[in-house]
Amino acid sequence: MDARQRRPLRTHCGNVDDLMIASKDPEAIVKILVEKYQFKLKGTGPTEFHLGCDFFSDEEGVLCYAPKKYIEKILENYRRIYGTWPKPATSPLTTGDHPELDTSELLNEDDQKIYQSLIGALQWVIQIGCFDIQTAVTTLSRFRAMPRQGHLDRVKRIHGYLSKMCHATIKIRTDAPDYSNIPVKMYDW
Amino acid sequence: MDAPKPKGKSVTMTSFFDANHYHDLISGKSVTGILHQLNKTPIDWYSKLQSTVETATFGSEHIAARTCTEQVIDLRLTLRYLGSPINGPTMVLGDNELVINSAAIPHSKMYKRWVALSYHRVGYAVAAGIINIHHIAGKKNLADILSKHWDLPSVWNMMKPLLFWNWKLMVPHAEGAEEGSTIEQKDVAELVSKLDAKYDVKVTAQGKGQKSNHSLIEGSDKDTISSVIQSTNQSRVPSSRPGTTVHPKGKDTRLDPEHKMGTK
Repeated sequence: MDARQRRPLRTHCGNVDDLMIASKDPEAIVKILVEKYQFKLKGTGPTEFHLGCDFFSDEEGVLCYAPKKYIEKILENYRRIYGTWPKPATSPLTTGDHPELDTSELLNEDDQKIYQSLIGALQWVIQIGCFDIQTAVTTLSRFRAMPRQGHLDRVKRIHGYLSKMCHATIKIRTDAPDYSNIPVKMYDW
Repeated sequence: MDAPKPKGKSVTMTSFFDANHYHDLISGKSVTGILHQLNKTPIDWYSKLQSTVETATFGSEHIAARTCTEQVIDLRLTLRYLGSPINGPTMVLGDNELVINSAAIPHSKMYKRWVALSYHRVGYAVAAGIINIHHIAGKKNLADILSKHWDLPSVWNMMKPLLFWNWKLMVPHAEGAEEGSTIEQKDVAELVSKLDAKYDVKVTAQGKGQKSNHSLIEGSDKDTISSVIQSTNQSRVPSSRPGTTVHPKGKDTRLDPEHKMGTK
């Protein structure tokens, strides 16, 4: 260890909202945080909700995470804006859709802002698990600066898809896939 | 090196890549889709318009393979610094046979400079033992979900074990928390069972612990992943490199027409 590393580590945290600890003995880390570093923790326990994502164990006791509450929130938000629930759809966009060819009228400033915030919320849903809508959302993200009515309609369709398929859950499967029959080829070129 | 010594259970890495050529009709650009898995858990996903225009699917698939390789190297470094041991090279799976073939052969000819560079990037990683690149049927390629606008029946087989395995588990939850939401449970349940019947998906949370099925991995036990590299390289003798005096016993594999795949 060189001198640089031996220097005492000082961290200033004004406000940390969400701490997630992954450890065999999380209590020990909590103890250090509270006693040594005088963290004021509002409550500790098994993770149930972190950064918009629900965490739970399934019937087999395996940890899973799903952005269920977050999806409910954005659907609620959708209803607040448009007064109705989105029309359910079975895919984010229709196959072979080309939003770049849309020639409907440009959105006014207010609708533009709505478009941008809806896209922003959807991007977070992707980050926390729903990668099924990623292609659709990234394709529509391109039009944030100059969205058209047709693009907004497509974003509404994605909300409709989410309302129908709101159960996307990622399960932490720790069993390794079996690739034993596939040869690992070593090359020396 | 101040990285921690790898400890504990090791992980097996799998990455899928795919490209959708000519995704954007105005600019002519393609889309890359990549999905990374640690053991059987999807941990990272990527879907993005490529920054250059490719005139052939071959080119855009190569760009996708390169992006995937770079992300794999990144991810392996991250795991290294976290102290997690990794099982051998990362399994990289794509559905374009030409790309898979040429990536594992040191003397494929590329006629475009940028494609050649992508090819070298992937080939380097194969040679360095970082990745193990194999072909997988298009229908089994999970990165399909991330590269094109799909309709549910065409990806349901892949998506159910990844994201919607919990169908039965989640329904009571949803009903409890419903309160005026329009989520039409019956409607969705019907759709799901119809799709399952049509495509014969078997995902039942059965057994204890981690025993649930995973269609891809299950399939992979039965020749889903064809080892294209193996078949094309079996006759290749490593010592046939220039500069070595040992003569290969077989014919020079560089004359083998199979090895010219991807050149044109």
